[in-house]
Amino acid sequence: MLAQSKATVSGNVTSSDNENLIGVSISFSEKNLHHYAVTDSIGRFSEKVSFGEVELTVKHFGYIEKSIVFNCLKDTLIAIVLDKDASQLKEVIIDNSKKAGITTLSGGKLSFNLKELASVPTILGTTDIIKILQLTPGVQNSGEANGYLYVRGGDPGHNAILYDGTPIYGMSHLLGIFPFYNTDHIKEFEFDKSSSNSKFGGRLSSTTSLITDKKIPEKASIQGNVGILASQLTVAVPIAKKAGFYLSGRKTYIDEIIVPLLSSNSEGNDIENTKYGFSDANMTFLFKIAKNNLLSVDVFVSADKFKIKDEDFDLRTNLKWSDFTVSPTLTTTLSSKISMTNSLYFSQYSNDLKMDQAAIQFGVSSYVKDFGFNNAVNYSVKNIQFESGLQYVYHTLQPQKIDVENLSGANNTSQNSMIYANEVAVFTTIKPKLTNHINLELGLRANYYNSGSKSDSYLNFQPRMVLNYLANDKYSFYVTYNKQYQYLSLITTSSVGIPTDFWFASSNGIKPQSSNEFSFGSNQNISKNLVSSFGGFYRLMKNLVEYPYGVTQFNETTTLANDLLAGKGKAYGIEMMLRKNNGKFNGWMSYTLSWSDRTFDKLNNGNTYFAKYDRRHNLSLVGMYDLNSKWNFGVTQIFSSGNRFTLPTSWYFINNNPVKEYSEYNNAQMPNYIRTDLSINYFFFKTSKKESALNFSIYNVFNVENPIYVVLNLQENNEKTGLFAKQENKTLYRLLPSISWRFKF
Amino acid sequence: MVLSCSKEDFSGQINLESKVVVEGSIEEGNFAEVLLSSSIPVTNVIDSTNILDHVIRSARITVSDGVTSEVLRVKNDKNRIPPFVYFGSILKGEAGKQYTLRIEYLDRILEAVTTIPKSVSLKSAAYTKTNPADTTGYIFVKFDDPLNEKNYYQIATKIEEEPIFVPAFYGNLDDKNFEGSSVATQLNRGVLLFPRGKYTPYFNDGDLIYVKLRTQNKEALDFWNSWQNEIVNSKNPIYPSTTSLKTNIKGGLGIWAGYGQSTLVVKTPPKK
Repeated sequence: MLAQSKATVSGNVTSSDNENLIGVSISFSEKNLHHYAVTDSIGRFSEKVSFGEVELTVKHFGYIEKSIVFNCLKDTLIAIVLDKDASQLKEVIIDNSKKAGITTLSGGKLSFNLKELASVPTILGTTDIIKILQLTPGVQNSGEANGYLYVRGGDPGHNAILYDGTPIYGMSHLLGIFPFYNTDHIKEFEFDKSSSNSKFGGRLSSTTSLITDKKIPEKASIQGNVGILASQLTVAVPIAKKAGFYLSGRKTYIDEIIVPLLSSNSEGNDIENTKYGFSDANMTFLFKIAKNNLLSVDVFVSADKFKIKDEDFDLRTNLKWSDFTVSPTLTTTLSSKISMTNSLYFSQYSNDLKMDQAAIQFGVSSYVKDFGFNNAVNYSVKNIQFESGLQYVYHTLQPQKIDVENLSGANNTSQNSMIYANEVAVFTTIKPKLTNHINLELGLRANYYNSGSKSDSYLNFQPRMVLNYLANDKYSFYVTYNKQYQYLSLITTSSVGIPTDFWFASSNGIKPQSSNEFSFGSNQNISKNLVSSFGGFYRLMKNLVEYPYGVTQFNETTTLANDLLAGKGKAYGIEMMLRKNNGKFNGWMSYTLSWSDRTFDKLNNGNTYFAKYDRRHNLSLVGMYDLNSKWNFGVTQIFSSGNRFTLPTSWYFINNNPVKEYSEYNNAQMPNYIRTDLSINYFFFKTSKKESALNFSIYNVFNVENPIYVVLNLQENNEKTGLFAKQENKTLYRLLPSISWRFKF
Repeated sequence: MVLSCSKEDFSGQINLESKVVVEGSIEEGNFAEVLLSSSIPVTNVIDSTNILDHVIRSARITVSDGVTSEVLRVKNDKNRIPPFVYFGSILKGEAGKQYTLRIEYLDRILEAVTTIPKSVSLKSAAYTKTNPADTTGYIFVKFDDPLNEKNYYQIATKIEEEPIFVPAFYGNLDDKNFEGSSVATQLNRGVLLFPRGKYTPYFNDGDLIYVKLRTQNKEALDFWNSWQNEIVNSKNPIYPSTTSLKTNIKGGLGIWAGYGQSTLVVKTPPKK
C-alpha cells in the first residue's frame, strides 16, 4: 500500500449539547478493511483511510448510532454530532456495553468515570477520588489518617490537583475518612501520573484534573447522600435556556459518633476529648453567551475544625484549615479546527494551629494564595493537532507565622516572613502522526519564576515526550520522557497526614525542585472485555526539601530558609494492571513493585536512606458485580508493604527523665498493610434520571490492625520489678461499617 | 473472624548499640558532678538484677581547669538515675574558666570541654496566684539581661522534696529574643518523672521553692532544647521527635556543661 493512496479523516465527536464525547468508538469500513478509532480526552480522532468509499459508524452508549458514508478523495475533516437516545432514558440501565470506569489514554494516563465507579467500596459509601487513585499502579496507599497521594516515589507535595484547571493546595480532611471532593459535583477526572501534558507544570509527580459537569441543566434535579457521619446534597437548576447552575454542599455531624468510635478502637487513651467537623460547598454556574462561547464560573469552599485535649501534658490543641477558590472560564469554539479556553482564578489555602501548653500559648498559621490566568488554544495545522497556551500566576505565601505567648506577656516571640512570587509559562504540545503505526506527542514548556531578588529568578525548560507505537489493534508500546520543575514545595512535619503541613516558595536561595523521568510501557487489548498494561519508570529528583525539626525549636527564631534542608532522591519500579471493563462482573488488579530513596547531606550523616513511603509491594484488587437491577456488590483487597519510620535504638536518662537515641533515619518498617473492604448497594429504583439506593459498606472487613505510627514507651513489667521499652502500635481505627442512602430526582 | 497482625519485633531490623552516657555539670561556686551510664538497647528489660549492668561505677573521671586537675570520687545517691554520682571536692567552678572532662572506662576514653559563663543575678522570684482563692500558683521571675554580652539562660526550679533542679518548660532562653534589658516572665514548671511522677504545671501552697537562673553556653542550650523536644514530643504524631539529643561528648552521648548561677528561695502560704 503506497502512502499516497491514503488520506486522513479526522474530526471530533460532540453531543447535541456541545459536550465533547470521550472514548467514542468509530469504526471505519472500507472495501475489505475494518479498523477502529477512539476519541481522545477532548473528543477528537484521527485515522488514515484509503481513497474510495468508506463508511463510518459512530457508536456511544446512551446516544443514537450514526452512520456516515462518503467517497474519500483527500484529507477530510468531520464534525460529528450525536443525539441522545431518548428510549434509554426510561429504562433501567444495566447493560453489557457499559461505559468503562477507567479508560487508558496515551502514555499511561488514565481517565475515570465516577458514575461507573460508584460500586467501588469506600469508607462511608461516598466515592473518594484519592482512594480510587490509590488502587491504580504507581500510587501508594497512604494508610489510615492520611489523605495524601504518593505517586511513583514522590512526596505528597509533588502532586497537583486541578479543579477545572485551578490548583487546589489543601489536600485532605483529617483522618482520611472523608473524600476531599464531593464527587456528586464532579463528572470525571484524569490522572496524569507524570504530569506529562505540557499544560501541566510546577509539580514533579502527578496531576489529577477534576472536571465538573459542563452541560447546562435542562431540568431541575436534586441528588445527594445521607450517611451516618456526613451528608451531601447537589441541586441542578436551569435559569434560562442558555444558563443554569449546579450547587453542592456537604456537612459532617460526627462528634457524637466518631469520638466514641475512635476511643474504643485506639490502644491507649491518647485521643481523648477530640472534636472534628468539616463542611464544604461547590458551585458551577454556566452561561452560553453565544453559539460558540460558554462561560463557566466555579466556586469551591471547604473548612475543617479539629480540637484535641491531652491531659498527660496539659495540652489543648485547636486546628483549623480551609480552601477557597473561584474561577471564571470562557470556552470559545472559533471554528471546527480551533477552540480556546481562557480562565482567571483565585485559590487560597490556609491553616491555623493554636496550642495551649501549661501556661504557654503557641500559635502557628500559614497560607498560600494564588491569582492566576490560564490560556490554552487547541488547533490543527496540516492535520497535526496542536495545543498551546500561556499561563501566569502570582503567588503570595505566608509559610509560617509563629506567635508564642507566655501568659505574663514578657517573653513573646514572633516569626513571620512573607514570600511573593511570579510565575509565567508558555507551552505547546504537538501530536504528529509519523507513520501508520508511530505517533508522537511532543511538549515543550518554558517557565519563568521570580521571587523578589535577582538570585531567585529561574528560567527553565521542561520538555515532554510520548512516543507511541501501535503494533496492531491489540498491542501498543510507548516510551516517555518528562522534565519537571517545582517552585512551591509542601513541607510536611507530621508522621501522619495532619494538616499542620505548609507550603513554601523558592526564595532566599532555596532552589526549585526538579526531576527527570523516563518510563516505558505497553497496553494490550487482550479481548473485547480484557485490557492490560505493563510498564516501568525511573525518576531522578533534585533539590528536594525537608524540614526535620518541627516547630518546637521556636524559641530559636531563625528564618525558615535556614532550617530547610536540600537533598536529592530517586525512584524506580514496575507497574502492571489488568482490567475487565464489561459484563456483570468487572474490575481490575493493580500491582506495583517500587523503590524510593533520599540522600540529604545533613540527615543520616549524608547516607542514602529509604523514603518514608518506600513501600516495596503494592497490590490492589477491585471487583464489582451487578447481580441484577436491584443489587450490586463491590469488594476491594489491598496488600502492601509497610512504610518506613525511624525507630530508636537505645534509651537513657537525663535529669531523671528517659530519652531515646535514634540511629539511622527510616531504619524500620511498619507491618504489612492488609485491608479488605466490602460494599453492597440496594437499588429501590434506578433510571438515568432518577435513583434511590441504600449503600452498606464495611471498611476493613477482617478488622486487621494497621497501625499509623509506632512509639516506644517505658513500662514496668508485670512483676513490677523492672522497666522495659515497649513498642506500641498506634492504630486509629479498624473495622468501620457505614450505611447511607443515595438519591437522585 | 478476626485476623490481627502479631506485634512485630522491629529490633531485628535495626543495629542495637550501647553508648556511654555522660550527664555532667560544673556550676560557679560548686564542685563538678557527673553521672555515668551506658544506654540501654530497646530490646532489654531492666530490673533489679541487671540494672547495675548499665551503671558505670568504676570509671576514672578527671576534671581539669588547665592548671589543677582532680579525679572525682563516687558515691551512692538513690534519688538519681543512675544512682551513683561522681563528685569533686577540690576544683570549685569559676566564671570565665575552661574545664575539660576526661573519662576513662575499660578501654574507652571520652572527652569534653566547657566554660563557665558569667552569672546573671535573679532580681526577684514571686509566687503568684490567678485567683486568690486558689491553692496553687505560678512563679514569676525578673532579671536584667546585660546588654553588652551574649547570654543564654536556663531557668530551673526545685521544691524541697525534690532531689534535683528541673529545667522549666520553654525556659531555655536566647537573649536575642528579649525585647529589652529587663526580663519579666512566668515560669512553666518542668517535668520530673522520678520521683515526682504525674506532671503538674503549677506549684502548691506549702511548697518551698528554689528558683535558679543559670547562664549557659550555646552547646548546653541546644542540648536542653533537644532534651525538651524529646520529652514533649516523643508521643506526639503532629511534630514527632525522631532526632537524637545534641551532644558535646566526644565518644559518647550526653552533656558536659559549665553554668553560672543565681538562686532565690520562694516561700508559699502554708497548706490549708
